[in-house]
Amino acid sequence: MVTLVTSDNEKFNAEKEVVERSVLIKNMLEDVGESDQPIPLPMFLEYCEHHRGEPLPAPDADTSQDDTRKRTTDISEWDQKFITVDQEMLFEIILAANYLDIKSLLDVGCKTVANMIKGKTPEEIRKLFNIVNDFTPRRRCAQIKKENEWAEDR
Amino acid sequence: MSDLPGELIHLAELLRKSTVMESMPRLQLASISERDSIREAIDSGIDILANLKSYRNAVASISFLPDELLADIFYHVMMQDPWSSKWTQLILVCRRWNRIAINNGRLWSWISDHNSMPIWEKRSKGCPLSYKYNHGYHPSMFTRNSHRIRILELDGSYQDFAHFFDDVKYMPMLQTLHIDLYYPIGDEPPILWHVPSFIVEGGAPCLRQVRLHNVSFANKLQLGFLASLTRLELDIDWQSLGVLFSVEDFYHIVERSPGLQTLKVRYFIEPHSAKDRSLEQLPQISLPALQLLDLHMDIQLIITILQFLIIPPNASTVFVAIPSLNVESSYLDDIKSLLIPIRRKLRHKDAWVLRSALIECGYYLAFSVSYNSTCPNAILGGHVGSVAAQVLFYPSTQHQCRQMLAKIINAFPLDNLELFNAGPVTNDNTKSDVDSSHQQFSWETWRTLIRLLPPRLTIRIGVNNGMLALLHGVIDAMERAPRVFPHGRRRKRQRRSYGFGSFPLSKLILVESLNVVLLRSPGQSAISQEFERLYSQLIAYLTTFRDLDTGFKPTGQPLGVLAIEEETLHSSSQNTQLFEVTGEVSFNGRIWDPVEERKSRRSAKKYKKRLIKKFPELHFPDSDTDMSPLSSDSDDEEADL
Repeated sequence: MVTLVTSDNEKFNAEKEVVERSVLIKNMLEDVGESDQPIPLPMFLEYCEHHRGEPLPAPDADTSQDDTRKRTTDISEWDQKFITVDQEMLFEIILAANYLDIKSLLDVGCKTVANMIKGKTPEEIRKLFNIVNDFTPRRRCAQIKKENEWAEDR
Repeated sequence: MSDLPGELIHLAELLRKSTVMESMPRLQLASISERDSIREAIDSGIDILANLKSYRNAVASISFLPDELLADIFYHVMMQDPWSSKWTQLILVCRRWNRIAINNGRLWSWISDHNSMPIWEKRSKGCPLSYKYNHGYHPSMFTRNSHRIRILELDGSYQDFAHFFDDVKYMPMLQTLHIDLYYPIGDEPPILWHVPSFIVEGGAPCLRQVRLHNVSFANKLQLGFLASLTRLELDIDWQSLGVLFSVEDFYHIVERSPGLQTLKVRYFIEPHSAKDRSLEQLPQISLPALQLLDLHMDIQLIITILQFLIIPPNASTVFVAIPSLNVESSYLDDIKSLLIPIRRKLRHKDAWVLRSALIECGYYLAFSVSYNSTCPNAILGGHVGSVAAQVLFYPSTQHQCRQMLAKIINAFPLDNLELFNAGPVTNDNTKSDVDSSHQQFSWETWRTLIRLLPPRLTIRIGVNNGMLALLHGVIDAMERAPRVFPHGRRRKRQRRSYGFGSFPLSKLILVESLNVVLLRSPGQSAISQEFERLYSQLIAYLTTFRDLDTGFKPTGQPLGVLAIEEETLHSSSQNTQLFEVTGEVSFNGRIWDPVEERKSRRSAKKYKKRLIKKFPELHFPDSDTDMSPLSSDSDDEEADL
């Protein structure tokens, strides 16, 4: 068993097999060895618990496999439910998955944002993420449009 | 605000204090230089404003993601449709997104034929490339980048690619090669285009996926390059062209690629090589990762191949079995032999349960089954999607068609079948057993099928004569269904579970017809007459169904559900009549309730009366368009008024 401590000092006990879905924690455990010292972490146990036992992506997996994984837009029903949160939380999850090096969760998060973006115009994307067009109208915009004419008509 | 530079804070203050100008001020300016300096000051103000907007964007929650994660999200967007450049819309969103996208080489590494290929090549910054060519444009770019091409797809006329590989000798990163060539009609070549020689001579050491259509090999020795593959698809349109290899060659190709996930071969193998006795001595090959096995060739070749291949129970299998050239063998016997390994695979303890089936017929008979309860997605032995198994045979008579169906259905475990899709089955006539080059299920064939399939099925079919043939077959099967089961343990059990057509149908879904004859009907009135005929016969069959008494269905129990997803039949249907001969009627998913229908008609009438009273100047037509003259409700409504 491993003790995890969240940023607000709450403690969780979890099985080693579960928490080792995070490559970061796996490496930490390997570096530290067997120890009673708690590991400070944000909450991610629910996800790892659900995906316990699934094969981890090999660190040296070739790029074509990686691409095949990225090409599929499908997200499992459970993951879909897990990731149905507001934007703030979604980006927090992506940041945490990146920090903890949980590839599958990072993929789910990125796919979700990608699905939100897909098929939208730049203006719709800005509205979705509450950002504004900050191109300088007189120079940059004209230059960008000229450089990327195909982006408009394809 | 404290992190903003001083000039921005100042500008923000100014903007806050400024008032809206009601009209353009008239300025008295003395010199051109004065005007220029004002213009410059305004422009720099605009730049500062743009910076201010960038600061605003920086506080948006998505902006907390670092550049590499945003680039990863962009890559996911791009990978959803990698050969299109629609994703490039992203660079127009804001300055940060523009910078991240432009500087990320991976995003620009999927290049297909278009005029901007050189720009993409430059922006890809040395990343491994995926190229797709339809016309063979920019061959020099291909040559220049051949060392870093990972995926190469050529799809077009063979003439466009005649000299495409002339200057390339080595592709060290090539993992996927897909060549799909077509030859203009009447321009079929005496020999097919060959796989580029450097590839078969070891010039593509990382090659794992090969898909060739109308591309052959210069000689059999070249097959040696097909090793360590995860995907192999070989397909030619003309069986007589190209170098055909023997079953033994095929054995060695598969042996060299135990990690195969997709194995699809159409023709390409010499039919006579199936009789090679030495094959019996060869050990079996296991392909544990196989997800799809698709063989389209002489039936005896398929049987021979299945003798040495061990396929995982949940792999999809598609077999388009062409009658053997060997005159000594019978096609039906061959089918029986072919169905043995299929039966073993589908009845394996680890195989998934089959939930739905699809049947197609034309000059062929195709039967597909799926693990999901929607329906197999397979047409003409094409893409398999959710198909667990598909077989496609070529019956020459209706009688042979029935024999094949009996063999197929006995081989496939269909006890848990929920949905049987016969949408592609049409019929130009309702007569019995008309044999023609185009197999169309007669009612006798339907009767055979119904008696073999599990009871209480949901059947989906088009509104055409095929629907009538199906219902005729259903009624006939029910009439002939035995009330007393014979002795004999196995037969008894089988008859008990299947009932031999005692209660074959619980739900009928009627969809748009694929019948070309019906679609060709001249004029609207002819179509309407045709539908009136189909409709009245449908009612007649459903009435007979309701009144029949079989071992499993008492008299008076109607068809459980009739779902109509066909517009023309819907508009010409007399809802009440349908309601009388079925348990439930729905139109495009909406259940028809006669009580509710009557209520809504009454309220519509009342509303109309109120309108007439309120606006007498608006001349409403006397006839009520909402009221179908066919409806039995019309008398009641008249009485209400």
